[in-house]
Amino acid sequence: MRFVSRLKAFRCFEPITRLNRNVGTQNANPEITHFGFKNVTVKEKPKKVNEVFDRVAGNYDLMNDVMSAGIHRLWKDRLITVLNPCDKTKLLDCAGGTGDISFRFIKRVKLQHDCPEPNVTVCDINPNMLEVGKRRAETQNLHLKWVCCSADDLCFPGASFNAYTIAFGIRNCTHIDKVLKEAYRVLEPGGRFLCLEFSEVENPYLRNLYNTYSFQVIPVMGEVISGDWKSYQYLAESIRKFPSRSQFSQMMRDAGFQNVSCESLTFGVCSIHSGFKL
Amino acid sequence: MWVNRCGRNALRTYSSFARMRSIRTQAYKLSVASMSHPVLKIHAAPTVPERVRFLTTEKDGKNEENSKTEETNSEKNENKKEEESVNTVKVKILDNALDFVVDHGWSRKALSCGAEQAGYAGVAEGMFTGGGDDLVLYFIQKCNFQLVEYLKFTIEEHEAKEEKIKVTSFIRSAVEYRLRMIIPFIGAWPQAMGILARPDIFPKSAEELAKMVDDIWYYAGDRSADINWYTKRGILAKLYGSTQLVMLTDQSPDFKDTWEFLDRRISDISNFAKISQSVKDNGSAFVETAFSGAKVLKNIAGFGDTKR
Repeated sequence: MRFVSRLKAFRCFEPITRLNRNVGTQNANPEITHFGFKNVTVKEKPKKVNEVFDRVAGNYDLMNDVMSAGIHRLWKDRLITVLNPCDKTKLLDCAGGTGDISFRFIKRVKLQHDCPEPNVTVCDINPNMLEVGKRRAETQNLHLKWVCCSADDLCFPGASFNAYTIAFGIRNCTHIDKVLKEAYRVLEPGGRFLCLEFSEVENPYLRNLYNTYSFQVIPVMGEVISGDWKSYQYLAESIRKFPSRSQFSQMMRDAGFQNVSCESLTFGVCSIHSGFKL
Repeated sequence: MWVNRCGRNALRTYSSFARMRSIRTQAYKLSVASMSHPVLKIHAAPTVPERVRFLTTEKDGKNEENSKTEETNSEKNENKKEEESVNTVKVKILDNALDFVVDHGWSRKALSCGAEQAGYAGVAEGMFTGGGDDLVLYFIQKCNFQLVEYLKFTIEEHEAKEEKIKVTSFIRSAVEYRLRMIIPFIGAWPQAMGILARPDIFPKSAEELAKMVDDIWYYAGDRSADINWYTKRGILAKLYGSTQLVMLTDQSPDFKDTWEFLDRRISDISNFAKISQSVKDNGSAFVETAFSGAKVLKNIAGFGDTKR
């Protein structure tokens, strides 16, 4: 305790000292939610998240490579391997702004199943992220549908997709339960929900190392490469505020998904949550 | 001497295990005897009842939570209902997937096509963590369940005619019936045998084989509670395995050569049983005759004489 109180004297250590409390807990007041470690109103949060992604959209892919040393590519490859798509799979890639998951899906289906036009729809709340994705698709000559809408109020009819993925996006959503209910609505029977998201590192020694890296190194990288400290501070804080694996699995079951399972990647830095609509 | 004592102790331990096992088996059979199922014909696809246990080793967040927190009865019931509904869907997909095994082998592709035929999205095959392995295990469970129904039916027939069951012919017909179930999938059966022999799957496939031979011997009327319990089941397992291998390379019409091989192996076993019985009966007399000269010398020399 004395060590922690001494740490508090140094402002740069403030985020680490706050890690011990409020990880994954929900506020009693329904009007207040979290934006990183700050509390904001429910109406303010989407606006603030949009501002963050407006700032990061330009260098999003570069920063992903730098922050994870390229490992995010392996995580996304693993997500598509777990999905194991066939030529009749209709994918909705939610919060898939720059199109990483969608491009992998298309390449895999074209290679394995000789399907000329895989059915993929990318939706994102931020139009700037979609623009980056569209430009990347043009350079690779890939044809997808790009839709700008919010994940907790999808503009698609019910049972219109049989695979729904959301990679590193659900922690930015204000109402995770609404997002899950919408995902359940748009899936066909037998459809699969896959969520790739950061989670808690299991090993306590590695966890300390990972926390130090998240709060001391990543914002510095953001400042040096993109000139934006606050967005990458928000990134690290939002990861800590996301519910734990078992809490999120229970939320998925509450939304109606069955056969819910969770796979940890890279010592627990990342997890793939899977559920089926039966 | 001490070797004899060790051997006797080992036999006693084995016998007590065999007795416990046979009591447990009889209790299990009594518990399911009350279930009535329609008589099944060979190659007919039955409606699979929920008693067919689905062998998967899935770990999900729910299981982790169970070990950490206490659950109320209502939560446990809900979890059980969810598990049952998921299993019903899985069984439906597996049944449909068997139609595609001939084209795609025991693979995720077959499961995916089966899911689509069952009315679910192709990606529902992701529910099966083992993929094609789960399909093979389900198939052999289903075949064994059908076999038990056939055995019960055969016994009822014999009882209706008031005939005594001949053990040899009963076992022969059981093995033939069980092997005939593989015929529609014989092209993909070597792949299935390879999957069942893999180290991670082998414990489950060995368990299924053990249950199958136990079922056959039980319905044949075997109630032995000694070393014979093990020897009988071991011999039947070996018989089944060798006949299965012969069937894979058999090109004769209606697998005639395989059934002739089966007949020859069964007659070998019964001959061996007769010979071993006669050796036991006459063996002590033979040994005494062989060592009669040594006994005469011993009497002359006076070794082991208690009278003085």
